[in-house]
Amino acid sequence: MSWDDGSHAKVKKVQLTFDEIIYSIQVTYDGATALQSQLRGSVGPKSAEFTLAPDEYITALSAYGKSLSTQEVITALTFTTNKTSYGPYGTKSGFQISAPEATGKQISGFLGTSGNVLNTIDVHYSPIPTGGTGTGGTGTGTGTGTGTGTGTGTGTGTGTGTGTGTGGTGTGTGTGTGGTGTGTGTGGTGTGTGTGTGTGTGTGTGTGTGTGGTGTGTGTGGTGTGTGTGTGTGTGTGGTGTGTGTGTGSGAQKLEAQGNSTGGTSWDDGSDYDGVTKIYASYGGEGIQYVKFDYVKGGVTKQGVLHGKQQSRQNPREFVINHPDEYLVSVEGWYETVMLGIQFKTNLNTYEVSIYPFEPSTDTKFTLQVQDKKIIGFHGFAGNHVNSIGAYFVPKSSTTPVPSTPLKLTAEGGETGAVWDDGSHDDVKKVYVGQGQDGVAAVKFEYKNGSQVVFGDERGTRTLLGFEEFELESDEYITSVEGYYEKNFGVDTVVTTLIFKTSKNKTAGPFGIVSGTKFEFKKEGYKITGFHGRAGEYVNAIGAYLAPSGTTPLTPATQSQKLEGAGSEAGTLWDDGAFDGVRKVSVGQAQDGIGAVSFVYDKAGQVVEGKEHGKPTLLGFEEFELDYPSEYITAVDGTYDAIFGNEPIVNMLRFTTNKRVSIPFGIGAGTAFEFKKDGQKIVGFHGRAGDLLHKFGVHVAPITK
Amino acid sequence: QNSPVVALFTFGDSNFDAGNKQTLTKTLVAQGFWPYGKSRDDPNGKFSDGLITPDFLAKFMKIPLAIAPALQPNVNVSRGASFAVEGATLLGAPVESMTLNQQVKKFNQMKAANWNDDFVAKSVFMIYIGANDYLNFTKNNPTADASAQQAFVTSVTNKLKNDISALYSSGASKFVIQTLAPLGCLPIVRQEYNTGMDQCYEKLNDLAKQHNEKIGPMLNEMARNSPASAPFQFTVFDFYNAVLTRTQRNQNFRFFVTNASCCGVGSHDAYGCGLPNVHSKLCEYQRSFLFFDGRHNSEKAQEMFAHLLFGADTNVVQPMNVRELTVYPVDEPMREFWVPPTPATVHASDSSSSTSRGYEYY
Repeated sequence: MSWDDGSHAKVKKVQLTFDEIIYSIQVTYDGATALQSQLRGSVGPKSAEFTLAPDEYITALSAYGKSLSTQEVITALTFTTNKTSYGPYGTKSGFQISAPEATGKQISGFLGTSGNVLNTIDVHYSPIPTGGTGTGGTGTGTGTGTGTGTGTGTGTGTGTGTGTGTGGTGTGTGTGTGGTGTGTGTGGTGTGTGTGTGTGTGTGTGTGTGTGGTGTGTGTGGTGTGTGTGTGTGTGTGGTGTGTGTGTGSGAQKLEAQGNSTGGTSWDDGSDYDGVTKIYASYGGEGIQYVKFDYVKGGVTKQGVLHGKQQSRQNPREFVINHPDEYLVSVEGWYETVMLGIQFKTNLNTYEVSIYPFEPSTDTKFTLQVQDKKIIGFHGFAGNHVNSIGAYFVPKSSTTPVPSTPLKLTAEGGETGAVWDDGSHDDVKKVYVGQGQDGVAAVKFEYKNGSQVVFGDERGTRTLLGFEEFELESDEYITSVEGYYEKNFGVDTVVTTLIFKTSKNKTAGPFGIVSGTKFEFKKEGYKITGFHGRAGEYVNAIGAYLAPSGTTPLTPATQSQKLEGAGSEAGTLWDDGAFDGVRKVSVGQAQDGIGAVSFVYDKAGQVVEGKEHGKPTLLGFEEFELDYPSEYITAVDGTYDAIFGNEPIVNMLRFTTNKRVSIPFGIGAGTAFEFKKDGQKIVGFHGRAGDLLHKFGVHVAPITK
Repeated sequence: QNSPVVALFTFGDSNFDAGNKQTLTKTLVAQGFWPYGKSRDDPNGKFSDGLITPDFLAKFMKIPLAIAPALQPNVNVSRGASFAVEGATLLGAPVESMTLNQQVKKFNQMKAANWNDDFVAKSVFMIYIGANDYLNFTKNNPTADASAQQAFVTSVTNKLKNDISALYSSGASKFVIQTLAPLGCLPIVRQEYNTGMDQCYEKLNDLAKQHNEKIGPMLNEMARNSPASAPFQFTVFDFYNAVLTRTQRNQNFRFFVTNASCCGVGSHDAYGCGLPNVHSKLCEYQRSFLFFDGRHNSEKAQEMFAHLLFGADTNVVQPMNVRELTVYPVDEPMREFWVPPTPATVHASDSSSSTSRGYEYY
């Protein structure tokens, strides 16, 4: 297949694999951010790489190629820069082709064709940014970036300096200030001027004038970063001046409070949150008496302050927002002298607190909403009632779900026995409880971590009665554990009973005879992800780990369908489940086939990073990024093969989208397979993996758009 | 015993409308004309041949003023007002009328200028609402099955609870809620559904019963959940059985006609009383009729209901009558609650189980 990296500012790094011929080339370019091309070709036996200095440019490329019976191959590559040359890589054989040096030009990009190996290669030329005669010096540039705006903005400015004369030196500094601001807008503009004095072997003194870059901060939400890079222009013994301005500002987009603010005092919960988790409100005869919000930041809930007034006569309402799957998108309200009704809309629900419905003849209505943004904070005016309300917005996607640290609840029971701790996992998969004469003799748990199953040790001492067990379904989790412990004659305090409740309203147990002191591990919105405690001859105490249940990964969407995978039954099962779509595919090669895969999905506008399946090697990952949501995967084909009598492994995967076909990741050999279903797109992956990928399958769902 | 100086506020539909509809529509309503007001020779917008239940009740409460229609300008509302409007519903948006929610809003708009918080807390709030919701529902959904009916009753009673909560949070403490009449026995309903002279339209009676069953428990819950600093107090008048008993055992109450109206046309003389282009019949002696027009009681019946409200026993109005409610300390949480009516009379007449308790209820 053919590929084209396009032309970039300059080449930064080249990675090659080869032996007799060139297998692959992968190039990293300099730009606003370092861009790495995909691996063109496939990984070959030998590898090499070189990194260019900031002022080093590839000026020429020389290659050897030959025609094999099946395809053309490149047998060797040599790169020439303005400082040195790299290569030859491969073995020179066949005919020579070259991209010669062009005055004032550099090679700024590559294009070519490749399959399993590199078949052809060509180059893009572009002017060398620093030019002139003599050696470019360095000027001094100061760049100031001011970021005004809301949200996260990144601004980059690039400047180019031209110098005539002989080398000089200078320094470039840049400062930037980020702004906190309101309103929509673009980030900061940074301008910098710098003068540089250069000394060198040339004639004359060089003065460098550096013009700082322009930092543009775009985006909205929490942090605004403006980076301005300026490059100076030197005349005479000129130089290059570099100025960098970095600005960090915080501030979400603030929509002014709506309502009748007279008669109230201002309140502001701020915007330093990831989301809203709970709404409290109450109405009375005259209107909305108060509002209060719970927020979450970094997995920690922060209770807000009550705005308005608690009164003895009230009609309190509470709404739980299941962050991060559920988030507030708009607030609608209506008022006369005070707020009469407020409607909170999330991506999933509408929550309303209102005393009187909106009446067009007398009431004023407003809506707070920003396209593609969500609400993370509130402000307004309140006195005896809520007078007005405003909100802070950030882009929906700016907050990816924060992996929250699990809560460890203290073990309940006795103080004897040895401490044990299974740690916290993604979910509990299976529970074993063994009875003894005086209580629970032993427990054992199986957990899930992504696709991995973790077998906990047996805690306590199993009796002849053995274990009773129950297994949770893949989308089920334990919501609470209840139990009892008791001090018995002649023995220590032991746990006598355990009762497990699940998200599917199932109850397992009671395991044991209910007697003694009751305890319960439960927290609204949390699930149990691990156990710890004390045990000896019996289970003396038990405690639990809790993690937000919202982090439950991978609940399969109902519409989706799982297509049976291809490959072998070696390794352990993994299943990412089905999502709204796939954003990125990463495939890691190993010696004999595909070593590991991982995927980034999208679920309701949130980016969901799937786990790595398999074992990555030093070869790292090749990535295939989709232009989500307009681009989606329609088919996956590949091959698997048994090598040296081992379990078959998947050795090639290729992804077809509605727009293009990816390169084959790996070298195809053995049995071919393809997953494709008409009218359906691929929304998730599953398979089996150990050190290598043994089996691969997909989830499909109807194409909705 | 002195009667406390309090007000009587009424909310709901035509039964308690003291003339609001007349004010609201600005067109001529039949209730402003003869033969409405026949008994007192005073057609005034009330839906009866004379006074209505709240008028009598106010008199018993020693309120020296008539309960004025709140929507009418320049009326004295110092001892109460009627916010009830003919055609009022709980759900929807009735044309030329108000929902209970809108009546509550109106009360709140007038509150600051007329009544202080203490006075409001001591005063009696009387509500009769829902009949129009069920009459409309049955007319529009003649084939609604049991689950659709149930769902509708739930939405109606939920709205009622919501609006009572709104009144409570506006400062009201003492509520008198009347259960719905046996709607299927109203002359206009019998006439429209052609049930004949002896039958009631049971589908509507069933809806009323389902609605009524929810009232007591709902109010119990509101009273129990109210804070001690502002206790919610209430009583429930069993209007359903008060009307039904009079329909079935009419002789005992000196009513001679209970299945047809005094004024109107049709098989049950139930339609069009007072309408200018209708040649409605008018009975000579309205005090022998339970109903004056197709769905509103005669003044005599209205007076009886006021007597029951004010002074009857717990088998009619429970957990207390209006007299007891008005003197019940406003800061005192209720100690007795509404209990589902037990077939106490059956127990009492059953000689094998003639416990003292049974006699007590009898």
